[in-house]
Formats: sequence, structure tokens, C-alpha cells
Amino acid sequence: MDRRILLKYMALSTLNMPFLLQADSIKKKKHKNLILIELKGGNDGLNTVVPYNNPLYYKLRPNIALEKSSVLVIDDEVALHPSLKAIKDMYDKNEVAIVQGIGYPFPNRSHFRSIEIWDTASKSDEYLDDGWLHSLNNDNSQDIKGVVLGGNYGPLSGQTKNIIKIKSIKSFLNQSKHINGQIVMTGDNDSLKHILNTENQIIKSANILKKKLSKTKKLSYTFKKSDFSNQMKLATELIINNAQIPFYKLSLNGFDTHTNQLLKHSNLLKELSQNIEIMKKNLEKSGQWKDTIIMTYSEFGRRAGENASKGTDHGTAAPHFIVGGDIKHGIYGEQPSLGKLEKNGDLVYSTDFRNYYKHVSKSF
Amino acid sequence: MLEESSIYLCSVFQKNQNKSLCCVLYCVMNFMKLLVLLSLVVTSLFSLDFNSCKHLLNRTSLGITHEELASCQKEKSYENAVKTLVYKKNIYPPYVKSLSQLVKKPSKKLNTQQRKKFRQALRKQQNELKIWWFKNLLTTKDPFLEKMVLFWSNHFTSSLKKVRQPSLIYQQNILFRKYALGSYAQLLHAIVEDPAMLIYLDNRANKKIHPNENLARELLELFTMGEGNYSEKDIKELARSLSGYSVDKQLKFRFKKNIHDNDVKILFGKSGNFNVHDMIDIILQQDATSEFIVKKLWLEFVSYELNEQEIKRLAKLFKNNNYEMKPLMVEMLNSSYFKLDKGQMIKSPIELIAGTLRSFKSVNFDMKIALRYLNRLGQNPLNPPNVKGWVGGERWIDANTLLVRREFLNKFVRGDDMIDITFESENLAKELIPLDVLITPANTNIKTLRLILQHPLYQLK
Repeated sequence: MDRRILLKYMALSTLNMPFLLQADSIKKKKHKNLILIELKGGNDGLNTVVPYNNPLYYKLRPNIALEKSSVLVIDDEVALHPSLKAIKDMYDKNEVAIVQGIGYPFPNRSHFRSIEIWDTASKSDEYLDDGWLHSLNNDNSQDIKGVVLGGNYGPLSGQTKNIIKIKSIKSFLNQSKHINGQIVMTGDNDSLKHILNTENQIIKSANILKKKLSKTKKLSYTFKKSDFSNQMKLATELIINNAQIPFYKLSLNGFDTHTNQLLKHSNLLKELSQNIEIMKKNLEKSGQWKDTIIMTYSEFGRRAGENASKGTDHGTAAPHFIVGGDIKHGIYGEQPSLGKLEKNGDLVYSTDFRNYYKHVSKSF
Repeated sequence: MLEESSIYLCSVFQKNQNKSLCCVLYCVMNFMKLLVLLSLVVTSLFSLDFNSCKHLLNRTSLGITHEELASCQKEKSYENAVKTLVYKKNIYPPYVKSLSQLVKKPSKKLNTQQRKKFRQALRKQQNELKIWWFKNLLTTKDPFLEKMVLFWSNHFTSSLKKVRQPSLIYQQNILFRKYALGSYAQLLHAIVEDPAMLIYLDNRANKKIHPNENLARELLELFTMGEGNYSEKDIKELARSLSGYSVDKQLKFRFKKNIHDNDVKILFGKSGNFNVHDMIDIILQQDATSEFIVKKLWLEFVSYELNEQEIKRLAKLFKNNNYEMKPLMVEMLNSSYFKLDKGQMIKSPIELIAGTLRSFKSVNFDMKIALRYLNRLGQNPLNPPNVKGWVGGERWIDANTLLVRREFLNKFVRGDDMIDITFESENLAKELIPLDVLITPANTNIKTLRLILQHPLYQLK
């Protein structure tokens, strides 16, 4: 192997990303709630964390570059999209880490395949069946381990033990009422055993939810009405009512911005940012903000240069956010160089997403 | 099995009563089990028994109908029933011209308006294709053929999402139907010239100077030999032989001689200026290939539990018969491992949904709703999750999908145009549930039907 590549590789694999917590809390593993937000469709990284002082950025995007005067400056190199006002405020309060240039080698530009690579933390040419959080989820207690509130099971996919997927708590409880339950069986029909186990799991989950939510605490700050807001609301309610579920998977759809992206993208980021702020306020009130980490991910970033329809096409690396009451804020990883693009005009990743994930798993 | 069911019933129907009653019931059931066994021994001496037919159809049909059961039971022996099933003349769905035509792109580079229009046209034809596909499953007179087509499309995977042009997936579906019960070897030769496959696995980008190994890799790993039976070098050689297998502007197959690598290739000790068909012949000579395919068919039709010895025996037979499917399927369905596996496999979403609708001849059920349920249950039609296809088995059922399965079945029972329910509820349970089970009829037929469909055993085949 070329020595330079080797060095780069070593740098990547040992990359230290202490964004999650102060050193003492790593030992205590004190985080209790991990909220994963999938930015579905492939979020445009360059218009999210903007290299606003780089002339190449404006050259690559004559129509869709964000105006220098409008962006929210973080440092000399990068600034946030104006819609991310709430995130910027949290950044200033030491509550946001930005990891730049996240991607993986031999990137795949298909939505379906690339999100699968992210979800299973596989190599580009490897097909794994289980989501990356699956391995963190193997103790045998009956507690609910995760809730999928939007999109696919993603990181929680696989032989999903004690993971439930719900749109509303009420309808889940209603549906589960019809399961008879309390079934004993002997014999060696594994398929039947699997179904009966699953039935039991549904009943137990429903009972846990019923118990935890019997004296429902009301939210102090209300969410707006949209599909994503509703997901955030449910997650917040479950947390403040002490459902003690470690993983929440949410999905904000619409990031596949091939055409006229400025307005669409701005609205999406606003929805993301405002909802995170409302969740934060509620969790601060209940004293759980310090136990919570919110992280974003997406199947890929977008092409560095704009396309002919004032939009951007499928790309590779992009930055992501980690937000929480007890994390070490700052900018991590390297912003991919706009001067050294791949042959087809894509950004070259600087941080392997598997290291990003590895670091997150350490604190659970 | 009866024992399991009786315990289950105990807990379901006698939940609120005391345990001793339950035990009594249990003993009664055990006694009945003995009776059933005795009666089985007696009846099987004279005619083909109900349970063997039910099991055979559960695995090879899409939802059992009265008629199928009746005609199976008329057979002289189980062997005859299998032979009739496998060797009957196949019935193909009529050709649909509108599905066979490409959605035309107005020009190479599209403006925003044109792009939008093009996408709309694609989506329209995609929906049309899915409806055709589903309707065909519901109305087919040849469910075993369709079962085999489903098997092959989950073996030689291509997805509508990536290929985009519905007509190519339609053509591929026709190809599967043509060879479904013919020769696997011929199907393999045909699939490397199938436009949908060439697009799905990026072989258009496979050129002599810039090889793309995607199709070659999957051909060895998933379509023929299985992992561990070949080297990275073999993949590279196979990729070279596949270079130039591409499509023209009309997306029809075209062998592009000028980008094909015509130099000498080596595979499993043989060398020559091979094209991909020569290479495939060499791959077909490997024992690993027949074993890999038989194993996959076994997991689909026979049992989740593999028996290596029996698989080797069947594989040998398969290879010696030039990879003809019919003799293999006859042998498989006659195997004792097949017969002993009653009700031990989980219905796929397609089997559950299309099967239920077909059993009740419920062709008026809103197909769009049915397709949506398939999607929610993890089997988005014509769109396998990746090149490996659906893993299936226990993975079909988790807390979410089990609730959705029940939701579908409830919706089905509630639907008013659904069926003319004039049946004897006892027989119905016997026909619909793969194992012997006693379901106490409720006071209305609809309620009884709901009990049957919501029974956990209904999820099995």
C-alpha cells in the first residue's frame, strides 16, 4: 500500500471523536436516550454546513450557493444554513457537535443501497442483515429496546427483539388488545414458537407502555403539526414519561432535492432545527436533556456542483449533527476539499461513518 | 403437533377458567389425537388423505381452494398427485402489449418539466405492472407455476426501483415463467442476456478496459455456486467474459463486440477465449452449483432444517438431469423431509395476502390496498431489498409485521363484498389451518372466520 494512503487510513481508523461526552461520563455510560434522525433522500451537506469563505463554493454553485451575509457563522471556515438558527444557539451553548465529511470508501449512489450500507454499517460491497444497533441490543430482558417512529427499522433492523414500530401509542395499544396471549407451548415447531414469542412480546410491550403512560405527563412546550413533529412529539412523550426506551428512530423525508432546492431545503432544515429545539426545551424541563443524544444521518450527501435544474444530484460525503445536553461541542473531522473532488465531481469523505457510529455505541 | 395446538387452545379459549378443566381438555385432545392417528392409518389405505393434499398444496399453491383440494384427493396416490402437479401443462397469463413498451425519453438531456413528465409516465406504468402482477397471482389457474416464478425472481433478483423501466421487469417476468419449470441451465444462460439484469447489476459499465465486477460477483455468489466455492480471481475472469454484454438505445440486449475482452480466460482449470456462455457451462459442471440451487429450493419448499445428505442426493439427480426442474421437484415433494414438515414454515407476505384472497376468490378486494399491505409487511412487489433478495423465514414476522398481518386479515373479514360465507365452519378451519386444530365455532360465521384467520397457525404453511 502507498505510504500516504496507509497513513490516511490509520488516521481514519484511530480518529478520536470525543464529541459525545466529557471523559468522566464515558465511564458511567450515563446517556439513556439516543434519538436517530434519518434525513431521508440525501441531505445536501454543503448547504447545511457552509464553507462560506471558500470562493470555490460559489463557483460550483452559482445559483444555489447561500449568501455570505445570511449564513450563521461558526468560525472562519464554516457557517450554518440560516434555517438552523436554533441549532446555532445550541452550538453556542456547548450542545452541538458537527462532524464533517462523513462517508465511506467506494460510495454507492443509490438511495436504497446506500442507506442499507449505513443502516447495517457494512462495507460498500458487503450485505449484512442486521442494523448496527442490533448488537447493542442483546440482553434478554423484556424491556422495550427501541421504537421506530418514522421510516424503516434502519439501524434497529434485523431479528428485532423488543423493538416496536408505532405511529401512535393509542393505535398500538388498541391493536395489541386483540392478541390473546399467555400461551404455553411444547414441541419443536420453531416457526410457531417464533410467532408465539412475538405475540408475547407485543403484549409485554403494550403492558409496559400502558403502565408507564398511565399518569401521562403533559408536554410543557407543544410541537407543531406535521409528520415529523408528530414523531418528535411521541419520542419526547415517551422519554418524559420514563418509558426507559434507549433507542428512537425517526425520519424526516424530502431531502432528495434534484430541482429548485433552495426553498425546499430551507424548509426542511427549519423543521429539523425547530423540532429539536422544542424537544430540548421539554427535556430540560423534565431534567432529561443531559441523558439525551440526538444524531442525524443520511444515505449520502449531494454533488458539490449544482445541476441544471437549480438542484443537486446524489453525492457522497456530508456533515452530521450530534446534539445533546452533555456533549463536547465543536467541529470534528475535516471538511472535504472543494479543490480535490472525485472524477465525477463528488466530495471525498474524510471520516468513515463506521467510526462515527463506533463512538456513539461506546456511550451506551 | 396436535398436542401443541391443544395447549394453545387451552390457553386461548379457557383462559379464564381453572387449570384442571384445561388439563381435562388436554387429555381429551390427546385421546382424540390417538383417534385421528388411527383413522389416518385406516383411510390412507384406500384413498389419498386430506392432510397430505393440504400440505402439498400449502407449499406449492397460493392459498388453497376447495377445488384444488378436491381434485388432489381424487388422485390414486400421493406420488400421482405430485406428478400431476409438476407435469401438468402450464397455463400462461395473456401477453400485455402496453406493459411491454418502453416509456420513451423525449431527449437525452431533460429539462425540469420533461423530467417531471418522464417520471410520471414511469410511475404510471410501474403501478400498472404491479396491478397486473398481483391480479395474475389472484386469478392464475396455475399457482404452482407462479410460485416457481416468485422463487426465480427472488433468486435472479432485479428491482423496479433501479431498473426503472417497467417493461424490462415485465419481460424478465415472462422469461422466468418460460423457464420456471424448465431448465435452470437454460435460464442461467438467458439471464446474462436479460436487459433488466444487465442494468440492475451494472454490466453496461463492464468494458474490457474498465471491468465492472458486479454481475460476475453476484453470478457466482448468489446465482450459481455460493460463497466459499470460488476465488476473487474467478470473479475477475468471469467479469472479463461478461464485458460487452449490454443493451442498445432501445434497451434491448446487445453484445458489444468492441468492448468485449476476447483474450484467454481461465476458470476451474479450463482455459480458452471464453465468452460468458462458455464460462457458465464450466460453472454448471461444478457440484457446488447444483447443491447451492437445491439448498435454496429446499429452504423455500421443503423445510428450514437442512439435511446435507439428502440435499447432496437431490443435487446429483438435478445435475444428472441437465438441471431440469421437473424431476427435481417431483423428488423433493416426495421426500420424507417434505412430508414431515407440515405447518413448520412461515407464509411470506405474498402467500398470506394473495393466498387469503385467492382462497376466498375475493377478486374485488382493492388491489392498491393489498399492494400497500405487501409493502408494509416487507415485501414491496418487484422490489427486493437488495441483490440477495428476501431472506424470509422467521424474519417475516416481528412485533410490527405481526400486527399488520392481523390488521390485514381483520380488514379482509370486515369487507362486505368479500365472500359468500356459506360453509361449514369446522371444515373451513380444517382447510385453512395447516395443522390439526379444534376451533370452537362462534355464534356467527364471520366471527368464526375471524377466529380462524387470527389463529397463529394461520401464519404457517
